[in-house]
Amino acid sequence: MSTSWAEGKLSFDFEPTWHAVKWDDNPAYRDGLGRVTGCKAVDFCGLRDGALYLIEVKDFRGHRIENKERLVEESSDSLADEVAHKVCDTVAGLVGAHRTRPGDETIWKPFGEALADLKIEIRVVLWLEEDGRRGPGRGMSLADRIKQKLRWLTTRVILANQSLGKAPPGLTVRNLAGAGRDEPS
Amino acid sequence: MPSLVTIHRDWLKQIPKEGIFVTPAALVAADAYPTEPVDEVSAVLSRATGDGGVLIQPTMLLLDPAAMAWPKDRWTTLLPGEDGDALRAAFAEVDPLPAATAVLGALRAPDPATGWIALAIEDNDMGTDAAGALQSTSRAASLGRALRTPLIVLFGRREIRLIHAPLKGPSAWVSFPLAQLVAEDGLLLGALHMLIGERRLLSLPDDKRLPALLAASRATKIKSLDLKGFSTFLYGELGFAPGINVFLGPNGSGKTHVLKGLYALLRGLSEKDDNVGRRDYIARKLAGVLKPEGDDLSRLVHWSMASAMLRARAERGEPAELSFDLPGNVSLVAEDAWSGPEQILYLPTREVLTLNEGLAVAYQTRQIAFDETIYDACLALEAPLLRTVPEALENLLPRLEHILGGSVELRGNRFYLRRGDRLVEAQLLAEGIRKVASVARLIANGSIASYGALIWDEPEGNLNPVLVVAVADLLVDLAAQGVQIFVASHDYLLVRRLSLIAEYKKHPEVPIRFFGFCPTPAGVTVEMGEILADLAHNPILDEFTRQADFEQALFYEISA
Repeated sequence: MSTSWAEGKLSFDFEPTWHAVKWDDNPAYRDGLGRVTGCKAVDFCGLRDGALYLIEVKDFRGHRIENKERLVEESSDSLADEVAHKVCDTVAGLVGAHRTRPGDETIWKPFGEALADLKIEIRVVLWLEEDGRRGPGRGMSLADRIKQKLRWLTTRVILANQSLGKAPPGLTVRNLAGAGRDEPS
Repeated sequence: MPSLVTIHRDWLKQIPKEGIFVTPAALVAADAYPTEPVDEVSAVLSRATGDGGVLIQPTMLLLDPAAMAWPKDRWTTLLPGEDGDALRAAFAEVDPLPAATAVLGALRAPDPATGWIALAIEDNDMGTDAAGALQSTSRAASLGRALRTPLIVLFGRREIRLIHAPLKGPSAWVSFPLAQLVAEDGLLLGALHMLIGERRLLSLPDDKRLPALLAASRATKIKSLDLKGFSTFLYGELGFAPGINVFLGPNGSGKTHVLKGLYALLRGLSEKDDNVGRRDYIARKLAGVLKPEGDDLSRLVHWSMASAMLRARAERGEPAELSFDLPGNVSLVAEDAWSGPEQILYLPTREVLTLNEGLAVAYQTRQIAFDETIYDACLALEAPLLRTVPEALENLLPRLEHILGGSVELRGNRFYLRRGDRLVEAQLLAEGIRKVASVARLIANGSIASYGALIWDEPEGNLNPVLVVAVADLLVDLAAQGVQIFVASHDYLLVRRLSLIAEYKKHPEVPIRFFGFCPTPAGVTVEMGEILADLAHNPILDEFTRQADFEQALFYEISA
């Protein structure tokens, strides 16, 4: 049976082949590293086919007018920095969860072990939904920016969304009601 | 001084019927051969071995082509089982004497590094018994390796033994009984003619002849280039990958100067020009490729420095260092036998396929101001086609011809693309296609060789994105076949594809390295990385990012 979580106006459906968690909502994060001021978390962590996925979701659709200034400020560099920080903190948080939450061993042990296993690839996915059709250069250059900042950990970084596709295998992303419409002011 | 042919005939006449062979040392004693070269090489041999030895100069083997009778059934082969098998497998000949044919046929031109065609050693003790013969052979093979001349002719009382001792791989030998050699006048001449390996006598492809074997046995890559006070650099240390080296940086950051400096140095070290010393040859080459005003090298010295230095290091041997200063002094520190790649090709930014027509004459008469890389590339294009393209590269040609939709032909001094029955002159082709056609021609004529280096400045110029990707893959394929590659590029598709290949280890046999040239107030600095993400300064990515941000700003501005 698939496990589904909503993130904003998107639904992320993980097939049973995944061992996935909604990390930023999980008590292991909220009651753990999340209490440290300034620490951040990616939305999903998952294991599948010998790879550890860290998935960050950004849905900028429908925020044009009232959030215009903020979105323009979301330049590639600042977005890349934000993702890099979240990945950095998530790695620390997962290690902490593995070490300090023995009661949830079946959940956190695979993550803790995967982080220490050089055979397991760490793959970072930025799921970025934006209004309109954007040039493919945006995706490549943004992914390359993130790669520069995550070189210490991994170079497996990709940008995905519903129009580009590129969802990890066994993960389906779909719009929830109201997706893509401007928020009421 | 008697002519060479006379010398050889005299030499042959001195072969008595009893089967005692007269070596070059005896010729010298009989005043039939100039002593200096023999003395010189004897001294080298003595230093290398601690005992005597004689070496034949290449001229000794320049024989009368009319005499070439050499019945193969008179050869005896003494190939040890394992080595013989290895050699036979390597040459894969169907000839009854595969190894002998291969080794003999290989010997075609002087070794470009030493000028020696083969090492000849007089050893009268050889052949008295099998153990002694083996010992002599082993000693000769070691000597050949030490002197980096893997073909040795060992002269004994009863036989001439031809030994092939490459730096890598097993040695093997063939023996020619002297009694048979001298039984018939002219046989020796024929045998030695076979040593030179005239093409019409042998069916061996070029990559199995001596020049290729010699080069392959010594194939070394450029390990590093150090720069001091050269062009835009105060100091720079570039450690190269043996596969592909990608230079990135804004215009004016010195990428082309470094590529051309490297080219001038390597060409000068690998070529010989007896009329000019090596130092002057390199200095002239550097001036020729960079074209400073009045050929004045001091103009290439960084404005804040008093002198400049370029130091290249190959995988083996001592580094070679060229220095020049403001007053115009030039100095070179280099070993006589430079061990870097022997074949270096520079492809300039613009295509050269249409330039060769009349360029050589115009250049030599100094009627045009093109830099020498263009002239050199034109000469390389005009080189005759190989009879057979080396196996390592031959599968690339059909792919290039598929891209081109035809094959490249030289007619007169103009290049054409043959598409079916139709010939299209290069002048009518798109410039990007001409670039790809040039590479096809350079592979077909051996100018791009698997043991050489290829320097390509902005290969992407005038190529459409499809061709850019094809060129990126071509670079990887060339590097996989042993070509060391240096490219400067501003193209995001090209460099990103190479980086992805490195990141995902698609061709682990092709190490790739990226160099970011960063202009700073204190001169240009260089950062190095195994993938693009290692570079903190990537001008191409920076511009793409700015473009994406610009698009984002425009998008929301218009929507509002």
